[in-house]
Amino acid sequence: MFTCASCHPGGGPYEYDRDHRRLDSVDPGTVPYLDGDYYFYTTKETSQGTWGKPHKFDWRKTGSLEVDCMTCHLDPDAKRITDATGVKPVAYNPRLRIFAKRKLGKVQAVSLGIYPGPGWDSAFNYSDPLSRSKMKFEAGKFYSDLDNPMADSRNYLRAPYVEGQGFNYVGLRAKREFLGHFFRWAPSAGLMGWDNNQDGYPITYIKLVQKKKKFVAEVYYEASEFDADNEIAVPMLSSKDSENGDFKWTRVCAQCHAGVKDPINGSFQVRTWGMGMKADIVKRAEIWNLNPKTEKDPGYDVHAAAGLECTSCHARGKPAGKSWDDYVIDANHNFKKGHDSGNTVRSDLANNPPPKNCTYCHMQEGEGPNPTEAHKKLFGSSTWVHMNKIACEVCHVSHVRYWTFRTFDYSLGFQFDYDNRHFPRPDGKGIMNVMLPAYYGPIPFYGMGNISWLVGSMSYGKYVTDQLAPVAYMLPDKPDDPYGKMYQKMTGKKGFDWQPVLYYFTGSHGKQIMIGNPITVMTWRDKTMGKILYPREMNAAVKGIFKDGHGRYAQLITGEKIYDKTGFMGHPDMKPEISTLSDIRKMRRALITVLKKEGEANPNPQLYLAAHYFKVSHGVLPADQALGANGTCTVCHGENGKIENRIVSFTPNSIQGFNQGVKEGLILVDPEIRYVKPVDLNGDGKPDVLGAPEKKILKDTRAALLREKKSE
Amino acid sequence: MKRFKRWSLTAIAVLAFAVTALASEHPKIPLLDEQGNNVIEMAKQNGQKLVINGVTYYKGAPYSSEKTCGACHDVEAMTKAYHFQLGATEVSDDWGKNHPQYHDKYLTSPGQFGFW
Repeated sequence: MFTCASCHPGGGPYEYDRDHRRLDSVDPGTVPYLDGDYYFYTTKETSQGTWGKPHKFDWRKTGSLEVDCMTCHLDPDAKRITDATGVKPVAYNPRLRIFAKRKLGKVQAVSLGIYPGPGWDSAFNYSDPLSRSKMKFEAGKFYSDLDNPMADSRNYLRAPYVEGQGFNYVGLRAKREFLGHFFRWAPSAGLMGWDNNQDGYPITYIKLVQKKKKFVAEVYYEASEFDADNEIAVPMLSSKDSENGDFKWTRVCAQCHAGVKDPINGSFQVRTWGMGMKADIVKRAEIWNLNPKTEKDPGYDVHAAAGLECTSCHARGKPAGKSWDDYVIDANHNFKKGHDSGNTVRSDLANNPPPKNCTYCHMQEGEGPNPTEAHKKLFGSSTWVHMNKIACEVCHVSHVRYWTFRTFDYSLGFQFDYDNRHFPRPDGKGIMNVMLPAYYGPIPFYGMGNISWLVGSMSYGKYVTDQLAPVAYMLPDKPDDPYGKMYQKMTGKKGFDWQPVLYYFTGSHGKQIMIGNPITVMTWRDKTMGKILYPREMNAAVKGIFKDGHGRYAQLITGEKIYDKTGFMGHPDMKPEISTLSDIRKMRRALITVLKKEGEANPNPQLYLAAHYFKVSHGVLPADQALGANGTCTVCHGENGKIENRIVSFTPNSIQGFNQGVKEGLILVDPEIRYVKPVDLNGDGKPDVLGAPEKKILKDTRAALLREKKSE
Repeated sequence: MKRFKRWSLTAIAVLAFAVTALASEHPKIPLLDEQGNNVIEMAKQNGQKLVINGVTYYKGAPYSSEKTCGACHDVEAMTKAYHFQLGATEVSDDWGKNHPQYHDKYLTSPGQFGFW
């Protein structure tokens, strides 16, 4: 719940245990030992690492997290609050300034949105001090904070914390402390952007107050928002409010799935709260431009330009020949979905029934122009081979114009948190002294430094590879796309520009070539137990990141050190990493120490590399501008084609002795990506990354499908 | 002709807005707490006030979306959907063993809850 509920609307496993008892109705004294619904490790234990047994959790104190219907059904535009500076945050779950009152450096009380007066400071005095805004705060006024790196209102109640006290952020001197969980109060906090009487004050106001060393949540309701019957008119967004040109439903879905610029306050956020990042940005760079000036603007989509919304294809839709009153998703609110290649999203529901897809609208129902004749002109006698074997999006979407995750490198645990302020600037002019732009980036407690993004690839070049950038390198620069500007400054290119990877998968039209982003995880697995190690265990093996005359290094609990030996585009990335078999053995020894403390008799950790492809299927461009524009054979085939000549990077660096490590069982490559090997990109005879040629990926993923078919 | 077109478009837009507005109209509702009480009514009765710049707030119980919306809508049925359950409805210790096509006997569900 700590992580996933930054998007999750509540209900389901956030409200009920596996026996369908409401979590907050159960006395934890009555549950069996180590019952997974009632035991937990603290955030400190998870992030800093520990061994031993978890603790009991008493949901009766925190409440369970009920489903919050307003997540989707409070109209995102109607009755928005206007804060003291004229900014209109979103109506539901606004990003607010969080004020704290301290006594002798310890927080006594927290106020969401409303500045109580002198003596109150920012709850995040390290990452978001009041001085950062350069404004004068007036007592009793309401303040949003679109740049706040930490808190939107609902999620703040879910897992509130303050800075300046408690335990250290991993690898940093700065401290933070969690104040508890307030799941029962979270929906009330979600309403703090809703101002029915438009007086500049929200319907609800939340404070956290310390009583007997514990914090309690207090909810206040503005009386004049309600009528004489103590009722209120809710500006409700219903399923009928679709395709009106205001893209409200697209924006509702985008709260958790995509990047969309808010049409009222101009903000553009990729994160919901804390570590919670919007699911389809990080997987496939899903951004939607609802008001593009040209088709070349990032996020342009022909269907959105025609007024279609997410609900147009993914909701059940208006039944043919019936009225809008029949327009319902259905009683159980299931959306129509495609097939996630990672198979983590109820694949039994995939295409069951299918969302409106290319074939449905363009070839079956006549809702869009039929493309058959145009393709015959292009492909001649091989038309059906191409149309059957290749998913439409392979040719018809744009180059991807935003970053996405590519590698999660947990081989040294969550070794340090994201804070770029002590990193050298890529242009060599001193160090970065700006906390990343809050509305976008990760925050300092997710081990973000261990994550690499895919930021670019050449389109149809002679030397083609994916470029991966460690998260640590960002050069914040407002407004729209600071990551794009960072990339531009570092590479001299304008913005992002990468092509998804071709692979075979079974989609709504059978086995086809698809395009997607293979997100890789490098982590540890215990060969004896057959389990992937928990972050808590891996973090326990690393004491921290330090620096000596040889550079930055990870200090292991065994006393051994693993140094930073690789860099990004000529810059030291300051991230110690496993890049030799010797490094693997060092970390193995540290992990064996931890696992023995956990009580395992014969632990046998091995480095584990796995990846899943995340399909790219939105962002359709006019045919003459899409990936397959000017669709000659050489776009894909031949010396400069995207099949023949591309190397796909799975990790930002290689490991010396990789093949020997696999042979010895020190490294296990998941069979799904058995083709990933060290690759020499620049011909100097030394491997640069772990990756694979595109041609090999196609061959292997096709063979895997054939093997599956045989075994059926 | 151009003028006619502009007026037509405006009229359509106004009509569309009106239809949209009607479609979105929802009856007034009380916000209810977990016990089903009207939160503002109870808060006024309790009488714990907070006046901020002349705006009066009453301290009350947290509102329950489930009780509030569930008074008229079948919230339980709606929350059986995947977006809420994330696979929890399918969880079993043997799920991975019974679904060999997922190549991992340790999986306990086909969704994020139990998969990760």
